[in-house]
Amino acid sequence: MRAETAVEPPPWCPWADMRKATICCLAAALLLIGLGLWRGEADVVLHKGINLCLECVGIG
Amino acid sequence: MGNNRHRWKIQLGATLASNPFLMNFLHGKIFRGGLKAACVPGLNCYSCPAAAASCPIGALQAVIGSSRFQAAYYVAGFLILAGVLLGRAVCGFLCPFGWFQELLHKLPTRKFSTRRLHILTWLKYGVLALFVIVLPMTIVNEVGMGDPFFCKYLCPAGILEGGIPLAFADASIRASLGGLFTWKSCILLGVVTLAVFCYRPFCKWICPLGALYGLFNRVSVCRLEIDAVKCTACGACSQACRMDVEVFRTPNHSECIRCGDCAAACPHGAITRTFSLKTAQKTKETIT
Repeated sequence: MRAETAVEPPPWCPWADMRKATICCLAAALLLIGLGLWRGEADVVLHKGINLCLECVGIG
Repeated sequence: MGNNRHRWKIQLGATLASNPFLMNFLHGKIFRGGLKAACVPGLNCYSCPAAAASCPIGALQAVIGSSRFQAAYYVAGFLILAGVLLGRAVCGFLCPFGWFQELLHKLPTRKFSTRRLHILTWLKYGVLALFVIVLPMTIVNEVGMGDPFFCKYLCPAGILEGGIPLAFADASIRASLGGLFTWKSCILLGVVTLAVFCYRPFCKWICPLGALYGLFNRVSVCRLEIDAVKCTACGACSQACRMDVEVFRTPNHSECIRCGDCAAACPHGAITRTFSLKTAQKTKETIT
């Protein structure tokens, strides 16, 4: 009789690595956002956004 | 089986959510609220009168090119977050300029395949590296500020969403237009023309945001999964894919925008879109 059984991926399996990579990237993203906010980079983004970007609209 | 009949509704909603201040088109002014400190996930110029938040590529260049900072942790973190959560599903569902190209492609003309031009997809990584990162960082003025090179010389979204509407509404802006506006208008015209005949040419070949998000497709939470038991490698998915991906071989290829055309075309229901951190469970046949 044939049956399908779940296979636990071994540690070197790319699938296992991918999910760890996802979680690591998520953690890194949150860390970077926090670091950037702490440094005051959001102020630069805000200042650029609320003033007309002459380069973007083709004035230069 | 995927169902992508409602994707246009999400695209419309995302476009309106990114650009809620439609009355500003008539007044010729841009929104100046605090929300501009945040970024939208898609390519949407912050000089669009209706834009509520900032363009991530423009914001990245603004911080990199500023005299205060060399590295843009905040915007990079946002891009990684969006990339890891959604990958290029941002392109397929949330990007206004991507949707604009899809609408153009619906015009009833002869369509051309871009499969043989696959090598051009590497161009956008060069645009990302050179115009978005290296040039704003290295070519600076006396006070240490760099220009947003991609926005200034390449981006057609700025002209479409900002330059043209503002030129119509504001005489002083209209009077200031010169050679740069002409150059970017030619780029816009080229993209518009190509988009009528080829599917999403800007997304495939030029967009640095798509290049960035594509790097995360293999690890993103939003992904495609192929049921190896159901899949017969018939190739129907690859035939249906307008981003020229061999779906049954590489379902999470960096070019995939998660539109779902492949899942809709699969005769065996072997393709599913998932949004999960769980590792895909593999099975083996055992004899008992």
